[in-house]
Amino acid sequence: MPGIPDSPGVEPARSGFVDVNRTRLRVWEWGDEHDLPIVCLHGAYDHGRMWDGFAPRLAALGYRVVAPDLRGHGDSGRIGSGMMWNASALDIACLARDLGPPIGIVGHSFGGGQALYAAGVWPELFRWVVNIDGLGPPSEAFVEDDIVEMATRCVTAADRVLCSPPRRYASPEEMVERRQGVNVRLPAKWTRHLVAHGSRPAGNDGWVWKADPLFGVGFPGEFDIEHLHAEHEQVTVPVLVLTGAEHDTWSDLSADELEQRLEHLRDARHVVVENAGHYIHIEQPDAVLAAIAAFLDEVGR
Amino acid sequence: MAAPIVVLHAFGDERGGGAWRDALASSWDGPVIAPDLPGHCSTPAPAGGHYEVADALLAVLPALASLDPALPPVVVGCGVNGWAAQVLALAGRASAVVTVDGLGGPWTTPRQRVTAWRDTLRAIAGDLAAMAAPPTEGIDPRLRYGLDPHGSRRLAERGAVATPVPALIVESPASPLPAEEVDALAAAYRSGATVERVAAATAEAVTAVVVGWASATRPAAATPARPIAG
Repeated sequence: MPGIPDSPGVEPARSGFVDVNRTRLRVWEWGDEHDLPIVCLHGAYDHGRMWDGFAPRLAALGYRVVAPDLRGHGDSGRIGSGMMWNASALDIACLARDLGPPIGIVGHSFGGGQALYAAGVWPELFRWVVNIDGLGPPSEAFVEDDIVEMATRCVTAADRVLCSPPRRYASPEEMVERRQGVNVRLPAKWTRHLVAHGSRPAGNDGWVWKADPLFGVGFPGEFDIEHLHAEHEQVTVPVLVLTGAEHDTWSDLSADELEQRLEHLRDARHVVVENAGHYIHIEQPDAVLAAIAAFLDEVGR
Repeated sequence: MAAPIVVLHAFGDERGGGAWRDALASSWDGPVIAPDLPGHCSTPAPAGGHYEVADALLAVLPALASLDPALPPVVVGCGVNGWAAQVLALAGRASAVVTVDGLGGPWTTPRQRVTAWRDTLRAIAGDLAAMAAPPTEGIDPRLRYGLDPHGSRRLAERGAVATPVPALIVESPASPLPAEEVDALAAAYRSGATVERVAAATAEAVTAVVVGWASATRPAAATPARPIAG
């Protein structure tokens, strides 16, 4: 692709689009298409190409690795509102159904939450779950905010998204700078890669993120830590939870809270990966691969 | 001029906002905004084809943005869309709020709600018609699965206490809440709430109640300021 830098990992062996659940998902694939499938889900505002480094390693274990851009992200279909949790889980179920279930599923951050949720709703479609730093936000995030503030934030943000053009950047370099400022531990070549595949030119007037801006618009509701626990309690398949040992943006569960979250998963084991923050599989792909290989030795492929 | 009125019709209403436009056309003095919400009548399903409780609010925001900010609308929300109407009121975008069997409920526990979402998702995934692209004509089969109203009494109470404008609570025998729950919530409204009961929540019956209430309460913003006599 012109203007796209070389991948810091391995270019996908195949890519295309699949029609599922009333949307079109871009999917990226590594490995032999006759091998056992594994689906890898990226996190919020990312896309399937974040697996360029890790997917080829998984594929080398004898798997067909399929990494979609979630709806509202990357090259996949747009969303009607920021409340895409259920719709996206349906997408993943359809993908699993098409690939030949039951399959393994790996998810990072928001994608890790989606992987757990989909496996909880459709246990017959998923064999196991690897959750990479995706057990949800810290409980402070669920503390009851002032409802007037929540409603005002929602309506103001929705107005901005619906009634004005998306934020434009002068260049991809400006987007790299912004992203690097948030995800300070991300190696620069990966930040450039994530931006290269997560942005697009806005006509002749700068650059915009591919991620649908509606994704960031919340809607006041009842969801709280008890709902999250109840979702986790639905999961019956084996789960491997990976967290990084280092403090990082979007890795903000305290050790105590992490313990509490794990207690709501029936069949979970937890591995802490040294020298890694939130993007564990990017920072320490070999350690993550070793943990997954040991997990699969235990629970079966 | 009277304030505009915005109606978020009930989810799954086969006439969309049509019955409301008809009923209000002859009885409301101000502008009437009662669109067919996404997936209803001629309005396409939301992008991505899945229905969520935010849809109604997002669908009317562009129309609200074009209104005179000095004359905020009366916002009516029916059924599950009662919460979207309340959110607009909480955000300061309404001069009055009307819910029609729309206070949420029945009350359930988080575990019950998560189980209900799971069952609905499994049912949709197993329904070929509901999974196929939305039809260009006729009723979208996915609408049959409804939308879960929020089932949290705590959320309903927080909304009630904080609502900054007069509220009218219209209830019919089809309401998910028992009368005593509605009365208890109504008492929690800081701004005051009136409960009116109708035999059936038709657009005609509710419009009659809303018009009577609005003319009796005259929401402050709907009354042109009188010049102070010198």
